Amino acid sequence: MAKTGEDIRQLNEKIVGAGYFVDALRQEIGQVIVGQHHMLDRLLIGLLSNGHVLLEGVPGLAKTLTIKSLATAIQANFNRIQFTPDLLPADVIGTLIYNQQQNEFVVRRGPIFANFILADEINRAPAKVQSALLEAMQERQVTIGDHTYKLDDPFLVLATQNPLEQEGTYPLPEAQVDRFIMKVIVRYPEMQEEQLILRHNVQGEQLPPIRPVVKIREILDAKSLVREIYLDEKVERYILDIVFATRYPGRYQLEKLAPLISYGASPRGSINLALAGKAQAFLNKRGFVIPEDIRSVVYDVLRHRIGLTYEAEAENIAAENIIDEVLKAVNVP
Amino acid sequence: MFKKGAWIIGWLYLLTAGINTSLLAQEVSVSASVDKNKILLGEPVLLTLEIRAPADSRIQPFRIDTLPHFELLSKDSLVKENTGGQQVIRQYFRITSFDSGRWAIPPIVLSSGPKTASILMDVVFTEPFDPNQPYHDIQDVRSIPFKLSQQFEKWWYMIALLLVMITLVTYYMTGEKKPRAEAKVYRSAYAKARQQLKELKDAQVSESRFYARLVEILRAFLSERARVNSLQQTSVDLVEKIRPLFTDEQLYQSLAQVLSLCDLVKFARYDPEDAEAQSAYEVIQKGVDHIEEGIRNAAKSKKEEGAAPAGDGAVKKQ
Repeated sequence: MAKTGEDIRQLNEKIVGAGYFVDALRQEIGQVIVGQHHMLDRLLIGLLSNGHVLLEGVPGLAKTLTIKSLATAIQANFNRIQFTPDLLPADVIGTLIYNQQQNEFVVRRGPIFANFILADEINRAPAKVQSALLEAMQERQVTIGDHTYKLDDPFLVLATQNPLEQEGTYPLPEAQVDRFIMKVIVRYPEMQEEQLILRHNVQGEQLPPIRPVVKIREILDAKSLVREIYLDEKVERYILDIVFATRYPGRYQLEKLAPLISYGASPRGSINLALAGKAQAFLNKRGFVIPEDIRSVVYDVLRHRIGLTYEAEAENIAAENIIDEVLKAVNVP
Repeated sequence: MFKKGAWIIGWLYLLTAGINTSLLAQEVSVSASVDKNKILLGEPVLLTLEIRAPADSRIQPFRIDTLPHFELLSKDSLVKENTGGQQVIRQYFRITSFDSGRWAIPPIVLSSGPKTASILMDVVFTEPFDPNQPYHDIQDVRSIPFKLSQQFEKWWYMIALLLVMITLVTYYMTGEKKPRAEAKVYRSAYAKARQQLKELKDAQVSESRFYARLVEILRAFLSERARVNSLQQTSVDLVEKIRPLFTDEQLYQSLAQVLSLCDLVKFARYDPEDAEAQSAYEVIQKGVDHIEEGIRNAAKSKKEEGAAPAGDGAVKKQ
């Protein structure tokens, strides 16, 4: 449906009204988590754009605490699944258990039945478990026995990967990684931030408990508003230019990138870039997307969707470097 | 008596047989000759073998496979002649030798008995033979006489290429002249920006197009004049980037607002008032003038200092 300028203005006002919770969430979680604003914003983008987020970072960067705090602040259910090599699909989605007293099989739901799932170290579980989780993420429903159960809404999976210990892991295949709307690299805190963390922990200061500041209903309303955010054709074109530049660098005078890219971003990359751009616009309390929104999410959306060649790996060129070059070459509308 | 008769007959037979054999031997004669007795190494020699025999006799020709110190180069077919009840058979061989020295062509025996006399041959390195001359295993290069036809065969494609080139040059020199493309007049980025702004003012375009074009002109000017990577930057990035180019804070803030307004028009279908369009136009124009003036002043002061020409760095100095 084509929107007029007046529609967009009204939507803008609605978003300004509905988006109050973003600041409230940031403030509430900020009492417990020092720094990591980027990670928190990306989790909110995942939540608002109905996507799942893959977090990559060394242990001890407050990944679990952030997600747990977010779940508490939203009054949502939270489950953590530690992925191990001996984990079975039934341990994730649930299974049928024989009840001796009632002489029948009863369904025992797995930990996936929650609003927020933290799939910790997802690459430690074998492919069949990863596959079961990723299928549930995609379908938003699971089948146990003869029954299919819809998963809760909102349903957000936050999977973590440890980039250091690769031995004994089962790296997610490209097709599975593509299902995550974003792959967020969680970085070390700044020195001042770490000084605060140090004080909190060493001096034994009791952290204030997280209070619920948002209701699930409000999140669901915000999700529908995000879908309505106006994405102009020029911004669509900008998204496509970025994605196409990763596939056909030669068309954008980026011939030097051609030997470094084995495959470019998929159509899911374009879709997720647009969705994440909309969610970013919502976080900025805008009813329309501007190229700035796209640029701010492009690294997280595309970094796991660009395949690098051996040549690139040999030269220590990362997907981020490729995206840098693409952004330098693609004209902003 | 009978024994005596047989003894006589036996003796008569033996006498008759000896006479017959000597007669036949006298009738068949062979000879060998060469056309020269002194050759250089590898020089061919014509060896002629001749057989003379009665016309009605059956004669097998010579059979030669090898001759010591000589090489058999070729063998011609037999030539037969009949002259006065006698047949003459001639065989021609071409031989040579690669062994220097004096060699004899040995007697060649005909199958029926007679044989030729041996022939002496001198095979030498050089003529005249000079034993003091240094050893040469390969003959000196000899010049080939010039032949025009041979030269044409060798160089025909070069001649053809030359002809094609002459034809093309002639065609382009004498052919119809195309009108020359109008020489491009160099215009500075500032002059271009001013010209484009003027054209935009006079053009009847939609509001969306007007604002988009306004930003395009500013971006192109910044890209060319201030060497800012403006075409690939968002409005927010651009505002940050051009901060050092402004000494007038108020104008800078106005420009930032105009860029924000342009984003609203471009991406949010905002419908601004006519006065806003006029104001935005003036701000962009003033911005272009201000940046140009700043760059010129910076270049001037650099020149006075005898430093490098103006650029991004020069402006930052402000």
